[in-house]
Amino acid sequence: MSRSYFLGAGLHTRLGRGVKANIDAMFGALPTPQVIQVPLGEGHEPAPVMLLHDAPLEDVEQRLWRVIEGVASEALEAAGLTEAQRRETVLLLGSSSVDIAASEAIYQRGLRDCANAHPLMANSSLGEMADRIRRRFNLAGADYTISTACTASANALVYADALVKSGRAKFALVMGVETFNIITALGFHGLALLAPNGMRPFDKGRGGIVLGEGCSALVVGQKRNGARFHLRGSANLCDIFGMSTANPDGTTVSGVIKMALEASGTKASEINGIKAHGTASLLNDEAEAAGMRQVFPQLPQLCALKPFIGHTFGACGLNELILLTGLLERGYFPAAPGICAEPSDLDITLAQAPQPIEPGVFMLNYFGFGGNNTSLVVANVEG
Amino acid sequence: MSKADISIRAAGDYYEEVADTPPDLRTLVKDVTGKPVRRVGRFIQLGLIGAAKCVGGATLPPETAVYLTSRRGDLEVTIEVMQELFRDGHAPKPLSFINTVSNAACYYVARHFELHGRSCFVGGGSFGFETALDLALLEMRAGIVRSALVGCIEIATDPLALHRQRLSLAPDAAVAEASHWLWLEASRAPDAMGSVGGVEFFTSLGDLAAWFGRQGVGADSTAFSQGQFLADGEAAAIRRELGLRKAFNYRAGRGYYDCLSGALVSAFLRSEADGASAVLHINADPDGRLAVMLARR
Amino acid sequence: MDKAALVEELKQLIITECDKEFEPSEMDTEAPLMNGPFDLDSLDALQIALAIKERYKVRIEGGPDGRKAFASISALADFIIESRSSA
Repeated sequence: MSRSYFLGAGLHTRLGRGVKANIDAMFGALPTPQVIQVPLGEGHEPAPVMLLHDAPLEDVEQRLWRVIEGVASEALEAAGLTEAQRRETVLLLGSSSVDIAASEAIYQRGLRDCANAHPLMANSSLGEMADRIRRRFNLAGADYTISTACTASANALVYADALVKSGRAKFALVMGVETFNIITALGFHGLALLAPNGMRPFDKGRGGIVLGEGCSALVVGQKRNGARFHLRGSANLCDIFGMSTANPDGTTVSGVIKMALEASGTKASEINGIKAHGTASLLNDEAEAAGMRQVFPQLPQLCALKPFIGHTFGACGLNELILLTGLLERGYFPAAPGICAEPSDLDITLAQAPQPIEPGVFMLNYFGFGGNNTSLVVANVEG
Repeated sequence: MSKADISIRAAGDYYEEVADTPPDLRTLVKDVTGKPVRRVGRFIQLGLIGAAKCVGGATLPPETAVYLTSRRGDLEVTIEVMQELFRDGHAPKPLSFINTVSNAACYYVARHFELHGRSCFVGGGSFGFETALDLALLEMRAGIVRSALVGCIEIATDPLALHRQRLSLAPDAAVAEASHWLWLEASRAPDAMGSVGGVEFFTSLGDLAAWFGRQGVGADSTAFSQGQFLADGEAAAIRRELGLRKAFNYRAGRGYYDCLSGALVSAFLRSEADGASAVLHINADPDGRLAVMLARR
Repeated sequence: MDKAALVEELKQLIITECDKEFEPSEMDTEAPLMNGPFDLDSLDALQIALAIKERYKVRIEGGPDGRKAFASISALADFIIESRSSA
């Protein structure tokens, strides 16, 4: 059976710039979120954030592009793609907000100059960011901007894998992009989902999300080039229970998990660890815990990575995949120091220090607005 | 129909030129879908109308996937949220904020038809519909998806003069709104309207011609169709190179909207098209890439 | 603040914010706002809470206070009147 392998990655989050810095930081304590004052009318609203390491929140339009450029370069270089191979590469960009941060900055500047300014006059095409990335790196294949809220970049990887496996593309550059924007910050504030003291998924002290920033890139391709991890299978299903929450009875969560296991030819007992979505809202945590238990009578070890980088929305799919696989390649399964040290109200325990682990088969789950649910099965063993 | 073809079970469209203020769609949603839908704006309404017109009285298999594309997305809700926030100083309303996610329309379409299959929103530049159809075909051929709705939505916003500026159109350009949908099935349905032979992207005409030669459709029975962003001169050159004497023009007389490619298949299947049994649609982007769709009746 | 007038305002606010096709005269002011005849969900509740904060400068938090405020349209009016007089 043909497979597509993860050939090279790039990552920039709160933890650091570059994959190595990010993985190094996962052996340490959880970063503390910063609370910033988001301007609203005459006043401000506080918002907990985990901003990109070493990238101050200024000159927003250029900042967004510089981050993307750096991360894409890291992945393409790590994969060792030649100029000729780049021309055979398709681009799959997964993002929820795409370039709205830049649109906000342009509109705010316009309003300062002229009270009659209008939003989205300069960059209203959803394909513009992908066009720019493709041109910058001379990628001549097709481009796809996948925008399915919090599953966007996970789904981008699913489609990239399908394009490579079918022979439609030699290589795919998958990217996840999410940067701070005021609409998202105040939108989640309005939904009463922001947690100033950090994300505590599955923990009784849960209080919601911290707004995370992150940008990730992954080159996938048929040739192994010494790369070990690959996508063994996946599933994406729509949950019509509600726009903003999975069915709390867990049935839709277990449905997508079962389908991913089946698609990847994996028995539940073969899963060596699960990266949970873990948004630390009561509804998500309940639905997710219930869903996992419907498939796994004995839960495999769990991790939740949002406490390290915040909720990076459309980019969380790929950000968390690179964090997980990067740490697994070093022989460790992630911890969540200070969270769920004892069995929680949902009877879930998380490791307090990274746990030594052998290569194996792992699951990553994502549940997004619009009822978009995705489950990935990755492996660094063949079979 | 070749082995790799995917059946077209149904096609449906909404298309209206907008002369002044974009029309209220609430009543039409209720008439076409059979029930009022609350908490949605015109983008989602247009998606529901187009999809419901496509499906008609049929019942979709519950595992039907939804692939939706748009170049501009839900401009209305995004503009509203940005103006209220930055100009007027009000926080985004929860129901507006939730609908700013591009895939909100996928959710409402899935909910209307009680679907729980895959759900995908893909934004595009010049090739939005082509990429959405491409992903649907990819997963259908891989056996992952058996039934799929593939659609596009483009709305206009009020005032129209600003909308034209936003889209870089001339001040007097005719503007339209549209939502085009196809219902595809992987199996060979006896009552299918036609089939989709493929979507491909090329960087050279030589590669395109070689691919076309392998498709098993005769140049005599295939109509050439010029896509929205393919220049006239290039279109003529491609048509000559491929030896396509018949042509199918579905673009004449339409106001401007992105994702015009979404109108092709249903327009072709409902037309005489000079007796052609297949249509080869070619679109281009500013980087010289070519996107090709092949459909048969 | 006149409660009867406030109740009528709130009915209109709910119709507008939640995009409902009710006639104000048909809305039972004593019926439970959530999980009752109005068919409103948690997103509607958040939408109503934000509109009330903007219009009446009254914050409705989650928890017991929120449940009390959303017990009915009448209870919501009382909650607003009480909060404003104690502010």
